[in-house]
Amino acid sequence: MSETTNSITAYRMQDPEPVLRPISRSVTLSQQAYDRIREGLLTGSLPVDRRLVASDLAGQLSMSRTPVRDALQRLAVSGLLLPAGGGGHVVAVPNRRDLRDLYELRVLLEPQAAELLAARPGAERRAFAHQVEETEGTPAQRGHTFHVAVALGSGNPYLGEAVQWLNERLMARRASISTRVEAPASGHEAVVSAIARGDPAAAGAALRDHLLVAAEAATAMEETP
Amino acid sequence: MMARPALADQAYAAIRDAILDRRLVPGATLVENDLATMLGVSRTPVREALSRLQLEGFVSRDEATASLGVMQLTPAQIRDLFGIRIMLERQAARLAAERISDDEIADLEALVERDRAALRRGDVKELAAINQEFHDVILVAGRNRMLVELLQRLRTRLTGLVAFAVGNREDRRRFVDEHAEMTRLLRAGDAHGVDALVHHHLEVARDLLLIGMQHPDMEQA
Repeated sequence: MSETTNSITAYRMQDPEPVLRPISRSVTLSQQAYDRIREGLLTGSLPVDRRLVASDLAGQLSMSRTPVRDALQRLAVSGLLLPAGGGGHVVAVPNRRDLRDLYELRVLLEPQAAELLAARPGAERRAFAHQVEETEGTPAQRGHTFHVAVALGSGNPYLGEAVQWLNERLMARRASISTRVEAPASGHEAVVSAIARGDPAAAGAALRDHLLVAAEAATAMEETP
Repeated sequence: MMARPALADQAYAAIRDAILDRRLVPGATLVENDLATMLGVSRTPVREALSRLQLEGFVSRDEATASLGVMQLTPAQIRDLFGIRIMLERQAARLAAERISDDEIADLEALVERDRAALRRGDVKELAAINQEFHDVILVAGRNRMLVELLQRLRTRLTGLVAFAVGNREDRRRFVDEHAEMTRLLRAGDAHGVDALVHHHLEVARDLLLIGMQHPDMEQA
Protein backbone atom coordinates (compact mmCIF):
# COMPACT_ATOMS: atom_id res chain seq x y z
CA MET A 1 0.00 0.00 0.00
CA SER A 2 2.85 2.35 0.69
CA GLU A 3 5.05 2.24 -2.39
CA THR A 4 2.96 4.35 -4.76
CA THR A 5 2.16 7.63 -3.11
CA ASN A 6 3.38 10.05 -5.77
CA SER A 7 0.04 11.26 -7.11
CA ILE A 8 -1.73 11.58 -3.77
CA THR A 9 -0.72 15.22 -3.53
CA ALA A 10 -2.96 15.98 -6.51
CA TYR A 11 -6.07 15.77 -4.34
CA ARG A 12 -4.75 16.34 -0.87
CA MET A 13 -5.85 19.93 -0.81
CA GLN A 14 -6.69 20.75 2.78
CA ASP A 15 -5.06 19.66 6.01
CA PRO A 16 -1.33 20.28 5.96
CA GLU A 17 0.55 17.33 7.46
CA PRO A 18 1.33 17.75 11.15
CA VAL A 19 5.05 17.98 11.88
CA LEU A 20 4.88 15.37 14.58
CA ARG A 21 2.29 12.71 15.20
CA PRO A 22 1.63 10.94 18.47
CA ILE A 23 3.20 7.51 18.75
CA SER A 24 0.62 4.87 19.49
CA ARG A 25 2.00 1.93 21.42
CA SER A 26 -1.27 0.06 21.47
CA VAL A 27 -1.60 -0.16 17.68
CA THR A 28 1.93 -1.44 17.34
CA LEU A 29 1.38 -4.02 20.06
CA SER A 30 -1.93 -5.24 18.68
CA GLN A 31 -0.35 -5.48 15.24
CA GLN A 32 2.45 -7.55 16.74
CA ALA A 33 -0.05 -9.78 18.51
CA TYR A 34 -2.01 -10.14 15.26
CA ASP A 35 1.10 -11.12 13.27
CA ARG A 36 2.35 -13.55 15.87
CA ILE A 37 -0.96 -15.36 16.37
CA ARG A 38 -1.42 -15.68 12.62
CA GLU A 39 2.14 -16.90 12.23
CA GLY A 40 1.68 -19.37 15.10
CA LEU A 41 -1.41 -20.85 13.47
CA LEU A 42 0.30 -21.12 10.09
CA THR A 43 3.47 -22.72 11.41
CA GLY A 44 1.61 -25.02 13.78
CA SER A 45 3.24 -23.68 16.94
CA LEU A 46 -0.32 -22.76 17.95
CA PRO A 47 -2.50 -25.85 17.46
CA VAL A 48 -5.42 -25.02 15.18
CA ASP A 49 -7.84 -27.26 17.09
CA ARG A 50 -7.53 -25.48 20.43
CA ARG A 51 -9.62 -22.68 21.86
CA LEU A 52 -7.81 -19.34 21.75
CA VAL A 53 -8.29 -17.27 24.87
CA ALA A 54 -6.80 -13.80 25.30
CA SER A 55 -5.52 -14.41 28.83
CA ASP A 56 -3.60 -17.60 27.84
CA LEU A 57 -2.12 -16.03 24.72
CA ALA A 58 -1.16 -12.86 26.57
CA GLY A 59 1.03 -15.02 28.81
CA GLN A 60 2.60 -16.87 25.89
CA LEU A 61 3.29 -13.65 23.99
CA SER A 62 4.39 -11.70 27.09
CA MET A 63 1.86 -8.96 26.40
CA SER A 64 -1.08 -7.51 28.21
CA ARG A 65 -4.54 -8.78 27.32
CA THR A 66 -5.78 -5.68 25.52
CA PRO A 67 -3.66 -5.91 22.35
CA VAL A 68 -4.21 -9.69 22.24
CA ARG A 69 -7.97 -9.30 22.53
CA ASP A 70 -7.77 -6.67 19.79
CA ALA A 71 -5.79 -9.03 17.55
CA LEU A 72 -8.25 -11.90 18.10
CA GLN A 73 -11.10 -9.63 17.15
CA ARG A 74 -9.36 -8.55 13.95
CA LEU A 75 -8.65 -12.18 13.04
CA ALA A 76 -12.34 -12.90 13.58
CA VAL A 77 -13.33 -9.98 11.34
CA SER A 78 -11.10 -11.34 8.60
CA GLY A 79 -12.85 -14.69 8.91
CA LEU A 80 -9.93 -16.77 10.18
CA LEU A 81 -11.41 -17.22 13.65
CA LEU A 82 -14.90 -17.75 14.95
CA PRO A 83 -16.13 -16.50 18.33
CA ALA A 84 -16.59 -19.48 20.64
CA GLY A 85 -18.32 -18.12 23.73
CA GLY A 86 -16.78 -16.75 26.91
CA GLY A 87 -14.59 -14.42 24.86
CA GLY A 88 -12.72 -17.35 23.33
CA HIS A 89 -12.15 -18.06 19.64
CA VAL A 90 -11.59 -21.13 17.47
CA VAL A 91 -10.02 -21.42 14.03
CA ALA A 92 -12.68 -21.50 11.33
CA VAL A 93 -12.60 -24.88 9.59
CA PRO A 94 -14.00 -24.80 6.04
CA ASN A 95 -16.77 -27.29 5.31
CA ARG A 96 -17.23 -29.09 1.99
CA ARG A 97 -19.13 -26.21 0.41
CA ASP A 98 -16.48 -23.71 1.58
CA LEU A 99 -13.79 -25.89 0.01
CA ARG A 100 -15.56 -25.84 -3.35
CA ASP A 101 -15.92 -22.05 -3.07
CA LEU A 102 -12.30 -21.51 -2.03
CA TYR A 103 -10.84 -23.68 -4.78
CA GLU A 104 -13.16 -22.14 -7.38
CA LEU A 105 -11.52 -18.80 -6.51
CA ARG A 106 -7.98 -20.09 -6.23
CA VAL A 107 -8.26 -21.64 -9.70
CA LEU A 108 -9.50 -18.27 -10.98
CA LEU A 109 -6.93 -15.99 -9.34
CA GLU A 110 -3.69 -17.88 -8.78
CA PRO A 111 -2.94 -18.83 -12.40
CA GLN A 112 -3.44 -15.18 -13.39
CA ALA A 113 -1.02 -14.16 -10.65
CA ALA A 114 1.52 -16.69 -11.97
CA GLU A 115 1.14 -15.24 -15.47
CA LEU A 116 1.75 -11.73 -14.18
CA LEU A 117 4.76 -12.81 -12.15
CA ALA A 118 6.28 -14.66 -15.14
CA ALA A 119 6.06 -11.38 -17.09
CA ARG A 120 7.91 -9.37 -14.41
CA PRO A 121 11.58 -8.33 -14.79
CA GLY A 122 14.22 -11.05 -14.35
CA ALA A 123 15.48 -9.78 -11.00
CA GLU A 124 12.02 -10.10 -9.44
CA ARG A 125 11.56 -13.59 -10.87
CA ARG A 126 14.94 -14.69 -9.50
CA ALA A 127 14.06 -13.24 -6.09
CA PHE A 128 10.87 -15.28 -6.12
CA ALA A 129 12.70 -18.51 -7.05
CA HIS A 130 15.24 -17.83 -4.32
CA GLN A 131 12.52 -17.26 -1.72
CA VAL A 132 10.77 -20.52 -2.63
CA GLU A 133 14.05 -22.42 -2.44
CA GLU A 134 14.91 -20.97 0.96
CA THR A 135 11.53 -21.72 2.57
CA GLU A 136 11.68 -24.16 5.43
CA GLY A 137 9.06 -25.96 7.48
CA THR A 138 6.45 -28.64 6.99
CA PRO A 139 5.08 -29.35 3.50
CA ALA A 140 1.94 -27.47 4.55
CA GLN A 141 3.90 -24.35 5.47
CA ARG A 142 6.01 -24.50 2.34
CA GLY A 143 2.86 -24.91 0.27
CA HIS A 144 1.32 -21.88 1.87
CA THR A 145 4.44 -19.77 1.39
CA PHE A 146 4.75 -20.83 -2.24
CA HIS A 147 1.19 -19.87 -3.20
CA VAL A 148 1.29 -16.56 -1.35
CA ALA A 149 4.70 -15.70 -2.85
CA VAL A 150 3.38 -16.20 -6.39
CA ALA A 151 0.48 -13.85 -5.72
CA LEU A 152 2.51 -11.19 -3.92
CA GLY A 153 5.01 -11.34 -6.80
CA SER A 154 2.29 -10.53 -9.34
CA GLY A 155 2.83 -6.80 -8.86
CA ASN A 156 -0.83 -6.30 -7.84
CA PRO A 157 -0.82 -6.06 -4.03
CA TYR A 158 -4.60 -6.54 -3.83
CA LEU A 159 -4.36 -9.77 -5.80
CA GLY A 160 -1.63 -10.81 -3.36
CA GLU A 161 -3.86 -9.94 -0.43
CA ALA A 162 -6.82 -11.87 -1.87
CA VAL A 163 -4.78 -15.02 -2.52
CA GLN A 164 -3.23 -14.78 0.93
CA TRP A 165 -6.70 -14.57 2.44
CA LEU A 166 -7.93 -17.62 0.47
CA ASN A 167 -4.89 -19.64 1.54
CA GLU A 168 -5.26 -18.63 5.17
CA ARG A 169 -8.85 -19.80 5.14
CA LEU A 170 -7.44 -23.24 4.34
CA MET A 171 -4.81 -23.25 7.07
CA ALA A 172 -6.87 -25.20 9.61
CA ARG A 173 -7.40 -27.86 7.00
CA ARG A 174 -3.80 -27.85 5.86
CA ALA A 175 -2.51 -28.36 9.38
CA SER A 176 -4.82 -31.30 10.11
CA ILE A 177 -4.10 -33.26 6.93
CA SER A 178 -0.66 -31.89 6.21
CA THR A 179 1.37 -34.77 4.85
CA ARG A 180 -1.28 -36.55 2.84
CA VAL A 181 -2.90 -33.85 0.74
CA GLU A 182 0.07 -31.58 0.20
CA ALA A 183 1.53 -34.30 -2.03
CA PRO A 184 0.95 -32.34 -5.26
CA ALA A 185 3.77 -30.02 -4.11
CA SER A 186 5.69 -31.67 -6.95
CA GLY A 187 3.58 -29.45 -9.22
CA HIS A 188 5.34 -26.41 -7.75
CA GLU A 189 8.53 -27.19 -9.69
CA ALA A 190 6.85 -26.82 -13.07
CA VAL A 191 5.46 -23.43 -11.99
CA VAL A 192 8.80 -22.22 -10.64
CA SER A 193 10.70 -23.21 -13.77
CA ALA A 194 8.14 -21.57 -16.08
CA ILE A 195 8.39 -18.38 -14.00
CA ALA A 196 12.19 -18.58 -14.02
CA ARG A 197 12.31 -18.73 -17.82
CA GLY A 198 9.66 -15.99 -18.12
CA ASP A 199 6.93 -18.04 -19.78
CA PRO A 200 3.56 -16.66 -18.59
CA ALA A 201 1.33 -19.14 -20.45
CA ALA A 202 3.23 -22.16 -19.12
CA ALA A 203 3.36 -20.74 -15.58
CA GLY A 204 -0.39 -20.13 -15.53
CA ALA A 205 -1.18 -23.56 -16.99
CA ALA A 206 1.14 -25.37 -14.57
CA LEU A 207 -0.37 -23.67 -11.54
CA ARG A 208 -3.91 -24.30 -12.79
CA ASP A 209 -3.15 -28.02 -13.22
CA HIS A 210 -1.60 -28.17 -9.77
CA LEU A 211 -4.63 -26.50 -8.17
CA LEU A 212 -7.12 -28.72 -9.97
CA VAL A 213 -5.35 -31.78 -8.55
CA ALA A 214 -5.28 -30.21 -5.08
CA ALA A 215 -8.98 -29.27 -5.31
CA GLU A 216 -9.92 -32.79 -6.24
CA ALA A 217 -7.82 -34.23 -3.41
CA ALA A 218 -9.36 -31.79 -0.92
CA THR A 219 -12.96 -32.58 -1.84
CA ALA A 220 -12.24 -36.31 -2.02
CA MET A 221 -10.76 -36.21 1.49
CA GLU A 222 -13.88 -34.47 2.65
CA GLU A 223 -16.08 -37.27 1.25
CA THR A 224 -14.09 -40.06 2.92
CA PRO A 225 -12.60 -38.56 6.05
CA MET B 1 -27.31 5.41 26.98
CA MET B 2 -30.47 5.82 24.92
CA ALA B 3 -29.57 9.18 23.41
CA ARG B 4 -26.11 8.13 22.26
CA PRO B 5 -26.94 5.97 19.24
CA ALA B 6 -28.94 8.83 17.73
CA LEU B 7 -26.04 11.27 18.16
CA ALA B 8 -23.58 8.75 16.75
CA ASP B 9 -25.92 8.20 13.79
CA GLN B 10 -26.09 11.93 13.17
CA ALA B 11 -22.32 12.31 13.41
CA TYR B 12 -21.97 9.36 11.03
CA ALA B 13 -24.37 10.88 8.50
CA ALA B 14 -22.75 14.33 8.71
CA ILE B 15 -19.21 13.06 8.14
CA ARG B 16 -20.30 10.63 5.44
CA ASP B 17 -22.17 13.38 3.55
CA ALA B 18 -19.14 15.66 3.80
CA ILE B 19 -17.02 12.91 2.20
CA LEU B 20 -19.61 12.20 -0.50
CA ASP B 21 -19.97 15.92 -1.26
CA ARG B 22 -16.17 16.20 -1.27
CA ARG B 23 -16.10 18.85 1.46
CA LEU B 24 -13.72 16.38 3.09
CA VAL B 25 -11.28 15.33 0.39
CA PRO B 26 -9.38 12.03 0.12
CA GLY B 27 -6.35 12.09 2.38
CA ALA B 28 -7.76 14.72 4.75
CA THR B 29 -6.81 13.89 8.35
CA LEU B 30 -9.74 13.32 10.67
CA VAL B 31 -9.15 14.40 14.25
CA GLU B 32 -11.80 13.26 16.72
CA ASN B 33 -11.54 16.42 18.79
CA ASP B 34 -11.86 18.79 15.85
CA LEU B 35 -14.82 16.89 14.41
CA ALA B 36 -16.53 16.88 17.81
CA THR B 37 -16.10 20.65 18.08
CA MET B 38 -17.40 21.25 14.56
CA LEU B 39 -20.44 19.02 15.14
CA GLY B 40 -21.04 20.38 18.63
CA VAL B 41 -21.05 16.94 20.24
CA SER B 42 -18.75 15.03 22.57
CA ARG B 43 -16.01 12.73 21.30
CA THR B 44 -17.86 9.48 22.02
CA PRO B 45 -20.43 9.68 19.20
CA VAL B 46 -17.69 10.91 16.83
CA ARG B 47 -15.51 7.93 17.73
CA GLU B 48 -18.43 5.59 17.07
CA ALA B 49 -19.18 7.27 13.76
CA LEU B 50 -15.55 7.04 12.66
CA SER B 51 -15.24 3.34 13.44
CA ARG B 52 -18.39 2.66 11.43
CA LEU B 53 -17.06 4.77 8.54
CA GLN B 54 -13.82 2.83 8.73
CA LEU B 55 -15.65 -0.50 8.45
CA GLU B 56 -17.53 0.82 5.43
CA GLY B 57 -14.37 2.03 3.70
CA PHE B 58 -14.96 5.79 3.85
CA VAL B 59 -12.19 6.27 6.35
CA SER B 60 -8.86 4.50 6.66
CA ARG B 61 -6.37 4.18 9.46
CA ASP B 62 -2.69 4.75 8.88
CA GLU B 63 -1.25 1.89 10.96
CA ALA B 64 2.13 3.57 11.27
CA THR B 65 0.80 6.76 12.83
CA ALA B 66 -2.55 5.46 14.14
CA SER B 67 -4.26 8.47 12.58
CA LEU B 68 -7.52 8.39 10.67
CA GLY B 69 -8.06 9.99 7.29
CA VAL B 70 -10.54 10.09 4.42
CA MET B 71 -9.81 7.02 2.27
CA GLN B 72 -7.46 7.83 -0.54
CA LEU B 73 -6.01 5.73 -3.31
CA THR B 74 -3.53 6.49 -6.08
CA PRO B 75 -4.57 5.86 -9.71
CA ALA B 76 -2.20 2.85 -9.74
CA GLN B 77 -3.93 1.42 -6.67
CA ILE B 78 -7.32 1.99 -8.25
CA ARG B 79 -6.21 0.12 -11.38
CA ASP B 80 -4.92 -2.77 -9.26
CA LEU B 81 -8.10 -2.90 -7.18
CA PHE B 82 -10.29 -2.88 -10.28
CA GLY B 83 -8.03 -5.53 -11.81
CA ILE B 84 -9.03 -8.07 -9.22
CA ARG B 85 -12.53 -6.71 -8.70
CA ILE B 86 -13.21 -7.26 -12.41
CA MET B 87 -11.89 -10.85 -12.27
CA LEU B 88 -14.13 -11.61 -9.28
CA GLU B 89 -17.29 -9.91 -10.55
CA ARG B 90 -16.95 -11.61 -13.93
CA GLN B 91 -16.66 -14.94 -12.13
CA ALA B 92 -19.74 -14.10 -10.02
CA ALA B 93 -21.68 -13.21 -13.17
CA ARG B 94 -20.69 -16.46 -14.93
CA LEU B 95 -21.74 -18.47 -11.88
CA ALA B 96 -24.94 -16.45 -11.48
CA ALA B 97 -25.96 -17.25 -15.07
CA GLU B 98 -26.17 -20.90 -13.96
CA ARG B 99 -27.28 -20.49 -10.36
CA ILE B 100 -29.58 -17.43 -10.14
CA SER B 101 -33.14 -17.99 -8.85
CA ASP B 102 -36.37 -16.59 -10.32
CA ASP B 103 -36.80 -14.42 -7.23
CA GLU B 104 -33.40 -12.87 -7.77
CA ILE B 105 -34.22 -12.17 -11.43
CA ALA B 106 -37.37 -10.41 -10.19
CA ASP B 107 -35.24 -8.40 -7.73
CA LEU B 108 -32.96 -7.30 -10.57
CA GLU B 109 -35.94 -6.31 -12.70
CA ALA B 110 -37.34 -4.22 -9.83
CA LEU B 111 -33.96 -2.53 -9.38
CA VAL B 112 -33.82 -1.64 -13.07
CA GLU B 113 -37.25 0.03 -12.69
CA ARG B 114 -35.95 2.06 -9.72
CA ASP B 115 -32.81 2.81 -11.75
CA ARG B 116 -34.92 4.35 -14.53
CA ALA B 117 -36.98 6.42 -12.10
CA ALA B 118 -33.85 7.78 -10.39
CA LEU B 119 -32.34 8.55 -13.79
CA ARG B 120 -35.41 10.62 -14.74
CA ARG B 121 -35.15 12.57 -11.47
CA GLY B 122 -31.39 12.97 -11.92
CA ASP B 123 -30.91 11.51 -8.42
CA VAL B 124 -27.21 10.61 -8.48
CA LYS B 125 -27.02 9.35 -4.88
CA GLU B 126 -29.97 7.01 -5.42
CA LEU B 127 -28.35 5.72 -8.63
CA ALA B 128 -25.15 4.92 -6.73
CA ALA B 129 -27.12 3.09 -4.01
CA ILE B 130 -29.10 1.08 -6.58
CA ASN B 131 -25.90 0.26 -8.45
CA GLN B 132 -24.41 -1.26 -5.31
CA GLU B 133 -27.58 -3.27 -4.62
CA PHE B 134 -27.76 -4.48 -8.21
CA HIS B 135 -24.23 -5.83 -8.22
CA ASP B 136 -24.76 -7.38 -4.78
CA VAL B 137 -27.73 -9.42 -6.07
CA ILE B 138 -25.57 -10.84 -8.87
CA LEU B 139 -22.77 -11.50 -6.43
CA VAL B 140 -25.00 -13.45 -4.05
CA ALA B 141 -26.63 -15.29 -6.96
CA GLY B 142 -23.20 -16.76 -7.80
CA ARG B 143 -23.66 -18.94 -4.65
CA ASN B 144 -20.01 -18.71 -3.66
CA ARG B 145 -19.87 -17.39 -0.09
CA MET B 146 -16.11 -16.90 -0.19
CA LEU B 147 -16.40 -14.83 -3.35
CA VAL B 148 -18.95 -12.59 -1.64
CA GLU B 149 -16.70 -12.11 1.38
CA LEU B 150 -13.57 -11.50 -0.63
CA LEU B 151 -15.16 -9.02 -2.99
CA GLN B 152 -16.80 -7.10 -0.16
CA ARG B 153 -13.41 -6.73 1.51
CA LEU B 154 -11.89 -5.33 -1.66
CA ARG B 155 -14.83 -3.14 -2.61
CA THR B 156 -14.87 -1.50 0.79
CA ARG B 157 -11.71 0.32 -0.25
CA LEU B 158 -13.59 1.95 -3.11
CA THR B 159 -16.79 3.09 -1.37
CA GLY B 160 -15.39 6.43 -0.25
CA LEU B 161 -14.52 7.26 -3.83
CA VAL B 162 -17.95 6.76 -5.43
CA ALA B 163 -18.44 10.52 -5.40
CA PHE B 164 -15.79 10.77 -8.09
CA ALA B 165 -17.32 8.20 -10.41
CA VAL B 166 -20.54 9.99 -11.27
CA GLY B 167 -19.95 10.50 -14.99
CA ASN B 168 -22.27 12.66 -17.07
CA ARG B 169 -25.94 12.13 -17.87
CA GLU B 170 -25.16 10.04 -20.94
CA ASP B 171 -22.80 7.77 -18.95
CA ARG B 172 -25.48 7.26 -16.33
CA ARG B 173 -28.13 6.40 -18.92
CA ARG B 174 -25.80 3.85 -20.52
CA PHE B 175 -25.15 2.26 -17.10
CA VAL B 176 -28.86 1.80 -16.48
CA ASP B 177 -29.32 0.29 -19.95
CA GLU B 178 -26.49 -2.12 -19.21
CA HIS B 179 -28.14 -3.17 -15.96
CA ALA B 180 -31.29 -4.00 -17.95
CA GLU B 181 -29.24 -5.97 -20.48
CA MET B 182 -27.39 -7.89 -17.72
CA THR B 183 -30.75 -8.87 -16.23
CA ARG B 184 -31.91 -10.15 -19.63
CA LEU B 185 -28.70 -12.16 -20.16
CA LEU B 186 -28.91 -13.70 -16.69
CA ARG B 187 -32.54 -14.68 -17.26
CA ALA B 188 -31.43 -16.35 -20.52
CA GLY B 189 -28.59 -18.15 -18.68
CA ASP B 190 -26.05 -16.61 -21.07
CA ALA B 191 -22.84 -16.92 -19.01
CA HIS B 192 -20.57 -15.79 -21.82
CA GLY B 193 -22.68 -12.75 -22.67
CA VAL B 194 -23.10 -11.51 -19.11
CA ASP B 195 -19.39 -12.05 -18.42
CA ALA B 196 -18.42 -9.84 -21.37
CA LEU B 197 -20.91 -7.13 -20.42
CA VAL B 198 -19.83 -7.03 -16.75
CA HIS B 199 -16.22 -6.78 -17.94
CA HIS B 200 -16.99 -3.79 -20.16
CA HIS B 201 -19.28 -2.17 -17.55
CA LEU B 202 -16.61 -2.23 -14.84
CA GLU B 203 -13.83 -1.03 -17.12
CA VAL B 204 -15.94 2.02 -17.94
CA ALA B 205 -16.68 2.52 -14.22
CA ARG B 206 -12.94 2.36 -13.46
CA ASP B 207 -12.12 4.90 -16.17
CA LEU B 208 -14.86 7.28 -15.00
CA LEU B 209 -13.49 7.09 -11.47
CA LEU B 210 -9.94 7.79 -12.66
CA ILE B 211 -11.10 10.75 -14.76
CA GLY B 212 -13.28 12.05 -11.91
CA MET B 213 -10.33 12.00 -9.55
CA GLN B 214 -8.05 13.84 -11.95
CA HIS B 215 -10.65 16.54 -12.49
CA PRO B 216 -12.66 16.64 -9.28
CA ASP B 217 -14.32 19.92 -10.19
CA MET B 218 -15.45 18.89 -13.66
CA GLU B 219 -19.11 19.46 -14.45
CA GLN B 220 -20.91 16.17 -13.96
CA ALA B 221 -24.51 17.20 -14.43
